[in-house]
Amino acid sequence: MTTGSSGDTRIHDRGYRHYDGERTGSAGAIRTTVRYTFGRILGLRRGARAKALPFIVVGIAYLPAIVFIGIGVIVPKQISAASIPQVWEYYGFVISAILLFIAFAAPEALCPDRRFRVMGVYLSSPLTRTRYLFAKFVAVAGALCFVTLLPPLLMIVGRSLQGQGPSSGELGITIVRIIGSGLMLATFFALLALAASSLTDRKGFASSAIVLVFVVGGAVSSALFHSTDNHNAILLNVFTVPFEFLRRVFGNAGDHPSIPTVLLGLVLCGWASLFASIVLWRYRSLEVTR
Amino acid sequence: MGGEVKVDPAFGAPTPHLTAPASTGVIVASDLVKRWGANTVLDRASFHIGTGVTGLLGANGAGKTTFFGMVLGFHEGDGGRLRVFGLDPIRQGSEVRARIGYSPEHDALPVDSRAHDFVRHVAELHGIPSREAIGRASDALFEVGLGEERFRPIGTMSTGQKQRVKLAQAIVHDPSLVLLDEPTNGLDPVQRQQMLALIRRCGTVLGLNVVVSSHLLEEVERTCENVVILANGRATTDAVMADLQEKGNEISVDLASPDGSSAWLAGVTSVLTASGLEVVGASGSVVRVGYIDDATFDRLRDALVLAGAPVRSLSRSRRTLADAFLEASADLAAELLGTDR
Repeated sequence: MTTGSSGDTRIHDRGYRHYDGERTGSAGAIRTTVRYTFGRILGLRRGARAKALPFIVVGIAYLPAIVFIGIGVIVPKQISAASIPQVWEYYGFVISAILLFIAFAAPEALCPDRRFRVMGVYLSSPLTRTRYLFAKFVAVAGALCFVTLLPPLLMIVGRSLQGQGPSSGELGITIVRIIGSGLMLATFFALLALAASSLTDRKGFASSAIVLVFVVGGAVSSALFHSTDNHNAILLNVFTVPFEFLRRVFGNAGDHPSIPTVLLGLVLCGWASLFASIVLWRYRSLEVTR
Repeated sequence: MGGEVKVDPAFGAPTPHLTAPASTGVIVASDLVKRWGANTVLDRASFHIGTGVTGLLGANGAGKTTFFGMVLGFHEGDGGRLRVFGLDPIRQGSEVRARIGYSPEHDALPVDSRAHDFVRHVAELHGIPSREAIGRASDALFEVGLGEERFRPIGTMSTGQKQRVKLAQAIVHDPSLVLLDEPTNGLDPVQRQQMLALIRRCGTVLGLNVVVSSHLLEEVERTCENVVILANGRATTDAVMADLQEKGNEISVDLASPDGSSAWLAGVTSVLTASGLEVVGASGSVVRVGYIDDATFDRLRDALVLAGAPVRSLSRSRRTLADAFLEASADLAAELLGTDR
């Protein structure tokens, strides 16, 4: 509040005062939770140690795109279109980055709130438990888009600007497919990360659980597949299913063409529903004051 | 106190500061029941909490934190009725919580966040627009004496500073009601006095309605204008502190008895009674007389002259909250046992 002015001189009477302006309501509460959580996941406004892992992982995810664009700039004539990976192949380069991000950055969204008992502060605001979880989901999925959506998009846009991308007729649909599949991966893995994080208030345990799901799930489905020669066994691997579905989105038959795309889609939705149910179940009965 | 409970027509609209009539109160509980399994925490508790600073007093496990949880809509009651600003905290939880600032009993702070970032975030959670929240977070932290420390990570702060951050986040959005659950937990005597002074300031200077839960009688007595005492699941007392202290005040007279006999003392007390004074008790050489107003001293002086009783000393004793608490607990115990005290 400016109580007086003379030329460029102003006296600001600061201090605690009542607020009679508009309030942003529950939409504002969700927005700020998304923004705050997003910042926490990426280590923003925190020390260098908190920033190191997410920034390194995001860097790894962009590295192939930068390399392929760079090659196109340095030796445009020598590189053929066939030597540039398809969009779905791009994920093969960055799957480790995606796994690292899910396992080590995403638990930051939920675990500290329970460990430091900040849930009581959140739920004493207009946020309900469902709105709180929705905000956390949007934040995690949004952060995951840095590794699932933007790198392949950067590659395609970069290559197209160099005149080496899809034809102008296909560019639009390719971008739509990249956005759709990137969002699908971000949604699916965000739910997986939230489900693992909802079971413990320790980030380390949540990270271990996610890595365990990746390793054990992969080992079990692989063993079943090789012993029975039944391709449906890969449906047990929560890391294979979304990438197999993604290849179908780009018109590729994938490594398991005998599995119908519809079945893949249904299993994908089933896993996602299971993860969402775990989170909702855990938070429905979570005690915040006692 | 006075005025009318103003209920926002729609959530998200401006929230003018609450003024509540004493007859209804900011919080009204009627026959409130809450059970955790076989344990009945609140057993037909009825009371109202009005404006100003109110102490919610009770032993550990008396149901103070549970009651706060019910006010915030976290727990549904098993019976009775609870209204906050005239609203049902279960069905209209978002509207109620938007106007409440809450400081939990335990540390509820993200240790790796800066105090300013967290307080700003809480302001935004309660609907303060982002730009306004930045300034208000600084103002609230200055108000609790953490202005110079506001950009420090919370984890590096002392217990006293953390309690202040909790207070700042509870008041930053200009709530109509502030709930402080055991706000002096873990503080040393100096920090405790400073925190109590801050709470008093919230009620008097900042004009906020504050409910402080505590199991420490002295804290409530020194800080609060009103008190609600919870014991055995019931609200045994629901009163203005000054009235509570005024009620039951006494004047103690130490008499120089010529022979020390009880017969002489009985004679003196009969003269006092005949003079219209209420003799509360008499033992040894001390007679206790009920205090009504300052004219009681004049009547007592005249009666003592009439009785020919020499006076050694005369003093007025103020009833403490501890007396009220013990009396209320004894009343309740007698009621539960079906006996007269």
